[in-house]
Amino acid sequence: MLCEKCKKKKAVIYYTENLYGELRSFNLCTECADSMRMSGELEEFSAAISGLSSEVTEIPRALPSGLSSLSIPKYSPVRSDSGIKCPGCGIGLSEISESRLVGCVRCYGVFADELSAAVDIMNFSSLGAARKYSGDPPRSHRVKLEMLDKISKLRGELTEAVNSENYELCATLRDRIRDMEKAFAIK
Amino acid sequence: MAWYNIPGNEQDVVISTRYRLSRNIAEFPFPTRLDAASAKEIINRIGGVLEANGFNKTDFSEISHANAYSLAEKMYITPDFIRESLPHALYLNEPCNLSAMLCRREHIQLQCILPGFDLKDASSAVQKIEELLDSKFNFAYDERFGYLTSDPAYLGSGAEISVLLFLPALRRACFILPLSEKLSKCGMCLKSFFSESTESNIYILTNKITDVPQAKLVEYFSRTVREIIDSERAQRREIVGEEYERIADAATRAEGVLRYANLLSYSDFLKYSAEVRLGISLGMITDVKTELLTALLIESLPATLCASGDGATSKNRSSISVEKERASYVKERLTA
Ligand SMILES: [Zn+2]
Ligand SMILES: [Zn+2]
Repeated sequence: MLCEKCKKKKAVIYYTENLYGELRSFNLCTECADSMRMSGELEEFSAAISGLSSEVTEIPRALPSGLSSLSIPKYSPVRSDSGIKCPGCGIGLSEISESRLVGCVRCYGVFADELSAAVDIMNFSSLGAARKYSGDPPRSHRVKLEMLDKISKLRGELTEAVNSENYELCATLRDRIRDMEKAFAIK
Repeated sequence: MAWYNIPGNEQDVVISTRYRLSRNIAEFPFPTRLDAASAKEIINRIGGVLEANGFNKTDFSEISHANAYSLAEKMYITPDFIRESLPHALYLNEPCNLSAMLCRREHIQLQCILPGFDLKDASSAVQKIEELLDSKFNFAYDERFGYLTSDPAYLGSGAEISVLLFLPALRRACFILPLSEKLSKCGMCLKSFFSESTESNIYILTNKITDVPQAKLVEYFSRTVREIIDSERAQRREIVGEEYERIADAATRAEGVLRYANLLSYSDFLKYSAEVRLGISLGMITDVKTELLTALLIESLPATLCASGDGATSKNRSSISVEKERASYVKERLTA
């Protein structure tokens, strides 16, 4: 293994920010490490982070353990970037492939095919055969579902009221639906 | 007291348990596409709720370099969080071992870290805070993908479990590789924790699957950890006769190094403390406690060492002075 700074001498793994595996080994020869320490670029504990040299700051962004090997092939832009950008955040597929980070909630709609393929391989496997999230939803979502359910019931009642020409009931139902939709929009 | 100073369950095999949940607020883009003003708004809104619940804010512009990295060494944050360019903040509730990184890769990464094996407590502590936030904010969520995250690796429940395991006997028996292959088929990942020092015999087990309810994941993960604990202990019982004598000798020699060395690099500390740790669990060493070794695992990391000692901020510390300081700190803790 060669020193990542001079790329000539044999490196010892100098210091590793190895906290839950999130930043990994850092290979320097003792001379490079010493000269960097002299110039203040390297502190023992922050070698990986505060080093000013570009070689030193280029630490690969680590994926959660074990996921990196699986996710790389799916993320590499095999198919050419269609040029489509997410209207929510302006990110394109090639940027997502590069950073391995999605820009916003709407990206998941725009790039659904590409992302769902990656997700199937990565985290939606063995345990959940459904290939669909089967975990707990947030409270807001449960409330939303209940609300939507109530609104659709009221709509049914409204149709009946219209058919039976019960205009007084129609007016009340319309008000209730409008109130609920308003509350929903605010939320 | 911080988590690493407290004796943990099954601490002869398990060093720590961490449970982390990633959440995002639906109305804002993820941190990769977020502007500074929105990041501040998120921090203020979430942070306000956290502060009302025993969390304290840490502003990285106000603390020393050593103190910032020390927080990473104590596993409250990830090291990359410190140099995040977007406004970001740590909220820490140290008595409860809870911490929240706001505006790292996700808007919210909430975690609990406990000594030993304690997945139930760690997960429920995190879920309690998560439920509180859930009642006040609109989390990004989708029926197909679950909780939406910037890093698709967390999609689904957003739950990330990691457990640090001390597996010297399984390693001696060459069982680590088959074990990690088996675990990877079960949606888990076992890796050496200190990649430069396999002699530490410390491994990290994490989950890869995120599409199931958290309770089910916790149960499944716990069962697996129990199995690993059992097989490690079974292998330790196999150490007898000549082999036992050799290991006992190595353990007492290692204790000698920790007690009397004048210079101690961190990788040396890892190597010798691993031998002592095994020696304690086999009954060869009785005057050192396992929890002390766990405390030293954190406290003798360079930033924490510097932050606690004097001259904390001196920039050009040579590695020899750090090794000297580590040796004397370890010596002091062992004799206390
Ligand atoms: Zn070099
Ligand atoms: Zn987007």
